[in-house]
Amino acid sequence: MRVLLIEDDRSLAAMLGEYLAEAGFAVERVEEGGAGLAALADGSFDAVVLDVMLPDLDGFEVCRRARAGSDVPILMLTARGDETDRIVGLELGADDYLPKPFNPRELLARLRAILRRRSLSPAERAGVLRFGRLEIDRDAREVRVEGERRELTSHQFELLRVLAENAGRVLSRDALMQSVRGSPLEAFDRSVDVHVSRIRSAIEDDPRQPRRLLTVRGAGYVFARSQDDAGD
Amino acid sequence: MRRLSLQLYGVCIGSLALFFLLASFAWMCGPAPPRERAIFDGLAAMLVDVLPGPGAPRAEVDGALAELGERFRTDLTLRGDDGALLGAVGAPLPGPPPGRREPGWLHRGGGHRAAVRLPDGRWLMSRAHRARHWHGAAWLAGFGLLAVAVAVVAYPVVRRLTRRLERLRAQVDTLGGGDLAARVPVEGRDEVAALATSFNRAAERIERLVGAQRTLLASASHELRSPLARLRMGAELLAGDARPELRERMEKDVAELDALIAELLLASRLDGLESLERREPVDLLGLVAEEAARVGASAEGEPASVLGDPRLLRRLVRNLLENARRHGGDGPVDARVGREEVPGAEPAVRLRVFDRGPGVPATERERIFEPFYRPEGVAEGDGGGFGLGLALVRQIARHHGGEVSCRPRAGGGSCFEVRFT
Repeated sequence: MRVLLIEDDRSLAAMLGEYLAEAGFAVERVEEGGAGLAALADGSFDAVVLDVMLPDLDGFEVCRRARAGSDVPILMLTARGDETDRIVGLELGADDYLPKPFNPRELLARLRAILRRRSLSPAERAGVLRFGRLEIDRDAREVRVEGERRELTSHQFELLRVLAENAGRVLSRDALMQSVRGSPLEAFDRSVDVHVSRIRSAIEDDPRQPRRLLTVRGAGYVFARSQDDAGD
Repeated sequence: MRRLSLQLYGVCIGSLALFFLLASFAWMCGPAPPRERAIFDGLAAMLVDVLPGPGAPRAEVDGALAELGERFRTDLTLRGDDGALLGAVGAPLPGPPPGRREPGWLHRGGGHRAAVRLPDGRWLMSRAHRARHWHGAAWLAGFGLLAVAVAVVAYPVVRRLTRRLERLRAQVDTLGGGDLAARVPVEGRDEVAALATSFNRAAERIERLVGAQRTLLASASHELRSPLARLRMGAELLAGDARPELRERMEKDVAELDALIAELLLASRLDGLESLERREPVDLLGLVAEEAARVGASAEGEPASVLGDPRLLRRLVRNLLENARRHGGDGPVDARVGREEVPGAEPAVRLRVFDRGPGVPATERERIFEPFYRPEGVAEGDGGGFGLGLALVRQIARHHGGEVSCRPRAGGGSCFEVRFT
């Protein structure tokens, strides 16, 4: 896998290049946006890691131009700490966005994730809900963590889907039961709790300390909107 | 702008009314103007022939007056030079004040009447029937006409003025609301136009200053975080040869410094902000549940919506929970969201975070919200300082029209309460 690293911080670029090389990537480094666009035009890369603050061109501009000419996955890095940058970056066509200082392992995981997503067709990609390392594929009716498939019954998948589609909002047991169509035998009030605990076993890193599917005493359940995000 | 219009209108009407009052007063009190004087004198000359001479009996005088009075439809009274009543038809009318020689109009004491001085010194007073009422009605009608006339003439002028001021005010509000690009069109060349120009210049300056501050913060963030990124990357590459606990320590320190930079920049940005940049309804319960999971706290309560900036509110909640976890050790940390009825207003939304830590003594409960406050006897690196966390919570709460407070908790520990109204 060939990765183009566009980063003007030479020292950081060298270390990151070494790190990615150890992980099995062939890394080419450039220090300017113009050089980066030229390299993209000439060679073929599997992914681009792009810094927002570059000496010649604005990182967003590089992203826009790169996206105009190619479909290559782009991961943007920034030290600016302005959270609107993230939205702008994603709207311009970046696939993911990581603030500095980043955890190198996280960068590696996200790079692999966007490469994996690229192998899906656009239609397939649209049906997939992504929360950090968790993917909920609504078309294939499949749940994956770091690409690995996790087993859920159809009813459990529906529960998870409804919660994920309303991420950040607390849903009561009543609301959940009403919006999930399943075999009548399965849908009893208590059983929502049982299903939730099964879902947790499938998707949480530590089901006893859930970070994705959360209980709110007295109100219901909520699916966390930001998951696996280091600093936010 | 209505008040200003009414004020201007009132001033116009008032001054005209005052003018008329003063003019009438002057007219009434002053001696009769020469032309009028001539009429009075002429009348006097004619009346001498018509009326009985001085010393005539009362009945004769009354009879002559009755005839005259009927013809002219007035009340008439004849008095001597000394004021003595010599004859009258209708209610006797008071004469002129003693010592007066000029014929003319009289007002005091008996209504509006004419006083004619006969050559022999006698006075004849005449008052038209229902004069008073007629006069009153005339005044009212005249005033009404005046009000309408002023309104018609003044309206376009006043309207134009108040419209321009209204436009100016609207743009000032827009600027105050956060739209730094708000400018006013400069029309005309008067003081209002000068005000508009001044406003535009001030708005320009504010926009530039805020822009400069934003750039500064962004640059500061970049400059501070780049070395951190290198440090973090370096720590990762220090593979098995370095002791893992030292590597972990480095990673933690980098994270701590990164968090501190974020808070410093946020506090700095909030300082310069008068009002929130984003206002949307935020599901506080959902937010609290997400953040609670991060620190292993429990979340409960009722769904409640707060209007504000979701990023800032997330930071507020996170800081409170992290603070509770840090000081509460391994003990339970609970977060509760609720609504409180407020008589006569929207219900207030309340967030409470409980911990079973050592608690905060009464003397420190306000001080912990000061930036970087460190209670007595707590050393560096102990994790016992409060850093910027709580200071930011207070700043963010206030930006959302709320307030945060620290209370004691029965059974030990603290309760931090944020109230959004």
